[in-house]
Amino acid sequence: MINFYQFIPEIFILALILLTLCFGLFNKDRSIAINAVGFFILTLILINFGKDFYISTDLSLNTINLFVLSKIILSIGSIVFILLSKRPLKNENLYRYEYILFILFAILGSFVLISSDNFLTAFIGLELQSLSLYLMAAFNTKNLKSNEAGIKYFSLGALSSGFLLFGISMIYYDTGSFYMQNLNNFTTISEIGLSLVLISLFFKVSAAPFHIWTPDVYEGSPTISTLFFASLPKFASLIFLFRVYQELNISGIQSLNYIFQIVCAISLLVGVYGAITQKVIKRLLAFSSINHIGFMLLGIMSYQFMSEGTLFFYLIIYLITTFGIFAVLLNLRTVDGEFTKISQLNGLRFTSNSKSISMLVFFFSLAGIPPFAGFFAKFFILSASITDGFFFLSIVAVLSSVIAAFYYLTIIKNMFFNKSEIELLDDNNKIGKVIFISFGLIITLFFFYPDPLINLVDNLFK
Amino acid sequence: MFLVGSFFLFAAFLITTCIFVIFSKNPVNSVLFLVLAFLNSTFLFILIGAEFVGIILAIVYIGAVAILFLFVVMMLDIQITTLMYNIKRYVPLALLFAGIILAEIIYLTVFKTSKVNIDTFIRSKNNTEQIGDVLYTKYFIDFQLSGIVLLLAMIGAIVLTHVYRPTIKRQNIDSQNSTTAKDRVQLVKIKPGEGIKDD
Repeated sequence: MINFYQFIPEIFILALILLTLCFGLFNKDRSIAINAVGFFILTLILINFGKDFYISTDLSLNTINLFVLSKIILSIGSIVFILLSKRPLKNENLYRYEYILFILFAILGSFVLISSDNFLTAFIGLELQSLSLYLMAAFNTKNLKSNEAGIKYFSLGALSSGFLLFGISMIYYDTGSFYMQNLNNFTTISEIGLSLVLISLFFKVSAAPFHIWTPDVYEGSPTISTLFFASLPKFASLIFLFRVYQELNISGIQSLNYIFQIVCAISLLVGVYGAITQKVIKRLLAFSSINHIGFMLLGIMSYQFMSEGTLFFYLIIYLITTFGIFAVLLNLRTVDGEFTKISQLNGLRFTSNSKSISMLVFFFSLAGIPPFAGFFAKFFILSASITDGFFFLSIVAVLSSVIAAFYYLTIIKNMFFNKSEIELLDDNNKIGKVIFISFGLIITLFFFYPDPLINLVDNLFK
Repeated sequence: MFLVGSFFLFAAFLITTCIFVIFSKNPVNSVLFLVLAFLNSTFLFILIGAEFVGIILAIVYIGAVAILFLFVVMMLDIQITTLMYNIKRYVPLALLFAGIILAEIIYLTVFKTSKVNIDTFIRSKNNTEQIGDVLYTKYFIDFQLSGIVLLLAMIGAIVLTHVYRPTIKRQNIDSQNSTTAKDRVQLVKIKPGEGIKDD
């Protein structure tokens, strides 16, 4: 008999989907408020009763904490995203309540993916997530680039799903089971199958040899969808990758371990070298996210001698910074419409002080410059990986972040010291402004009051 | 003997039709050969006792997917020569992948035995009963989630194809129902010999 108690968060989101689906027909503007309130209630439920849902299962306490913390982060992230999404959609004349539905479906898929204990459920969760991402990429149906992004994402994503299914079928052939805990003594077939599964997951998080879709899709799709691709689904896929690495004990298997290390090194380097020549800000952020995925893979690999907190801390800081940068970008417009080029950021200081200073904070944090939280995130990952013996990868990571600092700093220099080429209009979006200013404050004040964030991560893993 | 013979017959047919799918000059012929290939794989499934999967393959793939495909191919005006020109570039890559998969299959069949015990599956009950046993019990969550994926696909298809044009005149049921006789009909008393005066 299935124990439905552990599916309460998923059932809650499903109820929210059905409510929005019915209610949106009559009142399109309210669906944002309803869903923000819904996710707020879900967050409260998860914080207060999150661990009770999984008590009847035979999961270890660590895994339960992982589920609850990542679900809390996902639902807080969805509140922020849903609140942020209204104004940009209206500006682009795209506002339809189906967009909110796609967000809900993607979050449902992420929840299923995070807490799945077998590969079949994980596959369905991943499909639910990526299907709604394809739709969000192609949401601007009148724009050719958005259509192109949607089709590219869809066809490449279908290919990677094929790899995933082939890998799962090979694992099933070898062990006769979909469950992860039944996979303990590996044969060659399981290893091949698992490597195919890993390839598909690397594709979903856009790690380097499988990253070709990322810049095009990021550039083509509406900016608000780009923010979503870069943040929440990627977070969920990374958590699943972490669980696969941990529960199947991949560090003990030599061949798969090599795959992980090679992918990590290539991600770090490609993310840096690809970004240098970019002229479009969204492509630059795509390559920057590939570089950060490299860091996260390093964090996944070196979990043994540190707590899971290292990876989680990096992920939280990455999410906050991404949300902040995109909140600033979504608040800026040129006369022609959405602004795209990096050079259009020149002289942002003369347009708006709060935006340019927030951008400075976020880019410094991404580059890992000391007083900001990004430095500590990178520092924890590097110290964990050095303790774990990944010397070569650590050197690559440090070198890559030095080169990355070059293009982050170039943007900041242009923002503060160059004359502006084009007049930027202030969108005056109050919610966006609140979000980027408060996130900038979190990133800055972490140095002075590190306790809340550290305690949040630490307590949940004890 | 009969089983083995029919297996090789259908397998040979399957491979031949697959080759025809690729090398037909006319795309419509390719799709028709694809239907034949699906039919042959249906027979193969039925031969190993998986009659439910076989029939589903026939209904879904032949009945729905291939026929839709045929419509699309007939509507599109595809230049055949350009398609054939591109094929040659990808032959080495295709051969590489085909070689890898062939090597995997040979490795699996010759050197390995699966832990999945097919005999107990086949002997105890028929295939439809077996699927029915686990679909709503063991795989209940996955089954329901697949339904949600289909709901999302439906919503997505509508969102991507529906274009709202304000110029199109639509039926407004509310205003139709709320009209009264006074809005539409004017009763006029006509005096004899005068007719209706134009206001």
